[in-house]
Amino acid sequence: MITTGAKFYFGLGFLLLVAAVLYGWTSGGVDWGLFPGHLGDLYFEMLGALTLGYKGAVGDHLGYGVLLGGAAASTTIGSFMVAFRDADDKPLAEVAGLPVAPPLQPVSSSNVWATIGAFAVAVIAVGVATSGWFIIAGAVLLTIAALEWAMYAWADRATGDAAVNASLRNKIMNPIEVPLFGAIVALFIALSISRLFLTVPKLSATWLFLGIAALIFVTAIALAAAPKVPKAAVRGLLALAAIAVLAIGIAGAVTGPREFHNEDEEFTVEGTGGPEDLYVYGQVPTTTAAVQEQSGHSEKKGE
Amino acid sequence: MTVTESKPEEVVPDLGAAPAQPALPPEPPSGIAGVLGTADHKTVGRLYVGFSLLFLAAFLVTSALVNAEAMDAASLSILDGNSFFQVQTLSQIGVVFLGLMPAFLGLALFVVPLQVGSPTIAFPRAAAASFWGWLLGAGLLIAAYIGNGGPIGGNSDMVKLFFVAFAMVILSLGLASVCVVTTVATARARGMSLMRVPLFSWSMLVAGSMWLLNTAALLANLLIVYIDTTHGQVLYGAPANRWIQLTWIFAQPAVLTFALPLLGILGDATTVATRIRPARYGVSLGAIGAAGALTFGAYAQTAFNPALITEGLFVLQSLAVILPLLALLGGVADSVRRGRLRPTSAFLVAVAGMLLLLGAAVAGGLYALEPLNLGFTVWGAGVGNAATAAAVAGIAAGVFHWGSKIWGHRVAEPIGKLVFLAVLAGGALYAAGQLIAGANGQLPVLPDGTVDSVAANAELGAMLSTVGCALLAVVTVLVILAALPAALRRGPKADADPWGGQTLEWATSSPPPHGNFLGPIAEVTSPSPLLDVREGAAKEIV
Repeated sequence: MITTGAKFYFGLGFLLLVAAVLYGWTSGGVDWGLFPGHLGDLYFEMLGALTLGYKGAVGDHLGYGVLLGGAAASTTIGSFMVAFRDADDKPLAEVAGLPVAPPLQPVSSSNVWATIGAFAVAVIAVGVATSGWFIIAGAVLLTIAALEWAMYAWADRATGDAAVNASLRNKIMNPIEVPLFGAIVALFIALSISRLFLTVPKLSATWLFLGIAALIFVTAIALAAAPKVPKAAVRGLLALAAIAVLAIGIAGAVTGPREFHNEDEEFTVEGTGGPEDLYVYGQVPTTTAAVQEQSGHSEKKGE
Repeated sequence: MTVTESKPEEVVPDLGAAPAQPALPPEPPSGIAGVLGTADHKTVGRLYVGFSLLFLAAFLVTSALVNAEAMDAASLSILDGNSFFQVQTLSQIGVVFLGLMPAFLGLALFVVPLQVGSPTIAFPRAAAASFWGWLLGAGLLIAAYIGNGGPIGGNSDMVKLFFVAFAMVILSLGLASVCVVTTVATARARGMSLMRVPLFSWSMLVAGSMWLLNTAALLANLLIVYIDTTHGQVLYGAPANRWIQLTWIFAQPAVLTFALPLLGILGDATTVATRIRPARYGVSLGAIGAAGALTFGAYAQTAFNPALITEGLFVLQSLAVILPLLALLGGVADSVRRGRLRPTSAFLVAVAGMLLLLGAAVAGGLYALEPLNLGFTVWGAGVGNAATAAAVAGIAAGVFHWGSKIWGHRVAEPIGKLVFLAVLAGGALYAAGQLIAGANGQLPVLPDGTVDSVAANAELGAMLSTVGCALLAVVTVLVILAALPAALRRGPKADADPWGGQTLEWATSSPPPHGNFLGPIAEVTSPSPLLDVREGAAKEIV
């Protein structure tokens, strides 16, 4: 039996197939004059349109190809509609071996990975136009989003109980997500805070480090002392902290590191003078013997 | 590896008469995190409708600006030569791909699962991803234009970004279309065969399928142009050739596909307005299907075959598409004659849209007749304008018909009467201006904003089109104003069934709960299940 859905898609496919033949036949400049001399052309071009150009000629290849492609796509979908009998409930129930087809379940869980996936595609799009690094970053993000999405998709349908589904998903994914997320957060904090320490003067960096450590310590004590503090407040605090760390990192990166190459950190040894006797920070020998060896003064003095 | 301590219990369907449906599922999280992570088709639908209406209003204003430039054919007065073409192309893309298509898809994402009695959309997370992909793609597309991109922009990186962002928008809308089409095809309630599916859902099945077929070819065009743009700019990617390869989607017959959902909205609004059972339902389904099939336009790429508009297929198709539209209009007239007409805003606006769409089809038929010498004149743009106006009317009708269901508060019905007048006048002027100029032989404006020659009445036509386009922008703003209080949860709450509707979406509260229906849906036995209940032919439906 040809179902209603299949009728539409088969009808569309047939229409496009006829259109393809008509278009392939007529768009080649065929002469429609009904004289014996032209019958050969008519036949030649009709044969081409009917045989996908295997025998004879086809007019506009692009239009002919698009119409044939459309016909093939429609016919394929129509075949699926027939095979699944329009997904009517009775055939579905028969296939499932149940008196009635099982109903669909709405998804209750919140899952931002679809949104992150879309964002990753946007990052790739920017990368295609600008820099390859964006493409790599977007592809990594898209891969993670696809994996998480797939996991959610499985878990959402694992059982009929949303709570059990969430628990199942968490049991599998949390051992992966928590360390990974922790590592990313640690990396993020280390990168951002290190920008700040590299930017401010040496002494200030020490005091800042002490201040930040004290602030974290005091906040942790306060939270521990008030266990009934609302979750929203803790979340808000963490969000503010994350924004602050990000802002610090960006500000530090934009400002750039302080100047490390200065007079105090240069070191000279007694010698003949000139650039070869100048030792800069990072290349300073730590022992007298090493100084003499590096400078060659021991041999010079001995000579 | 053991991942659970005990095997979770499977849900075993009740073997009784009604299909098993568990107790109402838990509500998804609310707030920003809830919106960002939503898989609820209603939230996604609302987001699509809201953003697309804003985009539509904005790009109709820029379209009016472009039309206004042609009022003085001698020179550009508002835009300069460099920006004219950019604004023109952005307006065309914006109206169709950031306005019309997503607005219809938003309505469909909300309404179609309700109409077919499904507790959810097919692939709910894909539907959410499609929205965010579309929104981000739209942002990148606009950013590309601002950064001197677009099809012939001066910044090569931004030109590349334009093509990629445009492709992203198309892919996202394609994904949403897949969700809608699959829902109609596979998620219907018990007893609801496709012969009993509501007309809007059916029209979305048809429109979604045609959009997928047409935009697949457009994506191929974009890919070819992008590759040649980035590797040599020899032929397809040469600046002068880029845009012309994409214009077929805005020309007949493809442009008519963007108004296809209007046919379903008109059908549903007619049953509500006339308060009678639809007659010859199969004919209506067939006519919508035929109208859709006859708008396949991916082959009609005049950039590669300019003589195409004189080919037999193009002529036949252009004339044949008028017939199903006439059949549908005849069905509406028959319903009005048989029923007790209650002229709701949705019905009036949908009828106005139908007249505009019929006008577009007739004008398209004339365009294809070689003796009239309309080929390649702005008559073709007039056809597109009429189809655009019809689609705008369809969206407006959809918002007035289902607005209370979507937002749970009543949409200002009196504004609908104003919208009816504005959309009819605006649409007619928007199309007529170009048709008048085209009938006088006016050719389209060149990329630099100049014209080869100015035909008689061309400037008058441009003025009419400008006024018409501005009126359509006003229509969109009016629709936003009518829906805004409801969207902000202001005003009187809406009843579950304010119209005495006949299809399943009216069997649940406004807005519907998570899971859509409060219980299992009884077997559907006709295209009007709620009317069956009212007439005593069936028991309670939910």
